[in-house]
Amino acid sequence: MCSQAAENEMESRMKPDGEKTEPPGYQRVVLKNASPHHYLKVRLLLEDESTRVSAVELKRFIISCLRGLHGEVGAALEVDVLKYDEETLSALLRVHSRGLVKLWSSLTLQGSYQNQACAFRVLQRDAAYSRSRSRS
Amino acid sequence: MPNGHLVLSLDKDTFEMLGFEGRPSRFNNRTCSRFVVPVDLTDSSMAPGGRGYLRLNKVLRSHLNLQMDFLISHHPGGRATLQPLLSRYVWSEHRPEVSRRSLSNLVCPDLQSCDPLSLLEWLGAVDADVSCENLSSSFLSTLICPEPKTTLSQALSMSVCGLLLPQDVQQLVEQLRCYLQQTQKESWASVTVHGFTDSPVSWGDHEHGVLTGGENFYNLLMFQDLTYRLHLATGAHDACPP
Repeated sequence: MCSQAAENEMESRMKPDGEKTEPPGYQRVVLKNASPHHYLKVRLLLEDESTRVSAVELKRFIISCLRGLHGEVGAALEVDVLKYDEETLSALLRVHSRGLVKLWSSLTLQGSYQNQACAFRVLQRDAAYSRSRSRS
Repeated sequence: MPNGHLVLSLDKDTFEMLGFEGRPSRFNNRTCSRFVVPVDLTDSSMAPGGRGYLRLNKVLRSHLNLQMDFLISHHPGGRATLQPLLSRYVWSEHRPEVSRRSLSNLVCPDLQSCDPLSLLEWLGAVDADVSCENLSSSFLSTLICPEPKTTLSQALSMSVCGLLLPQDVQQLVEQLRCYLQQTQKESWASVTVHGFTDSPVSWGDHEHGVLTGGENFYNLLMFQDLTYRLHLATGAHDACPP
């Protein structure tokens, strides 16, 4: 687990071309560790593969995982389920950067869902940009 | 790399067996377990038959029992040059996967003034087909489009996945610029290019670390009046992009 997971460095430039009356408007901004959110692509593996889990049930389960490990402070973390596929039980989550380690640890350590063995697999993590495809 | 340097990222055992000069990776976590070996292939001793070439060839072939797959891309018309090399190995051809999606009634922020992180988040949400039309009190997701926002009647999202050459990207950008100049006011185009997250180098010849995310991409947002915004992103422990 990486405790310094909230790293991202980004730069933005603006350059209006062809404006001869003004000095060249060129702005360079460097942001370091500035990403307010992190994105996790996770998949829920269940012992009984025929179990259906709706998006609301998944969100409630994630909150209960957070409460189990980190108590009410964990349960109060803002976690968004951006996208969820009921067929593959995979979801795209968004969390505040300061809560990433809490969320990740509580998902990893969760071992049961409704009296059956389960595991969360974290497939991908991004600091700046949520992507739909995973790349090698 | 384009400057003729071969960069090997090796674990400790392989590095010691190779016996080449290298330096510890910047991304070692306490223990020194990974090394970076840069080899200058333009050096005179690296010419076929040269001293450096023979040594590198010998250690890579005999000391290390490595088997790996290579991704090779060629310029238009370069197939004939590759043919003698390919004929000695088992190979298969992969074409870039292209997918396209028409978007209608897309809620869009003010791209000129939007802050970069919100802008990239919104672009990512569009790419991943995530809805931004949530209420702040919504249980599932509180992701919303940054204010001020407008609604676009139609837009097109395309994605190409494969090993693309910089020339391909440049050609795409030039064509998009031509297209923008011919279209109506307030059009824009955005191109996002992702590098491999586990690539040993990112910008220039600076070392790139995966850590947990391996961010390695840039985004070019072009407007009709030829202004643009360029966003370059990489992991925070990497060197700053140029």
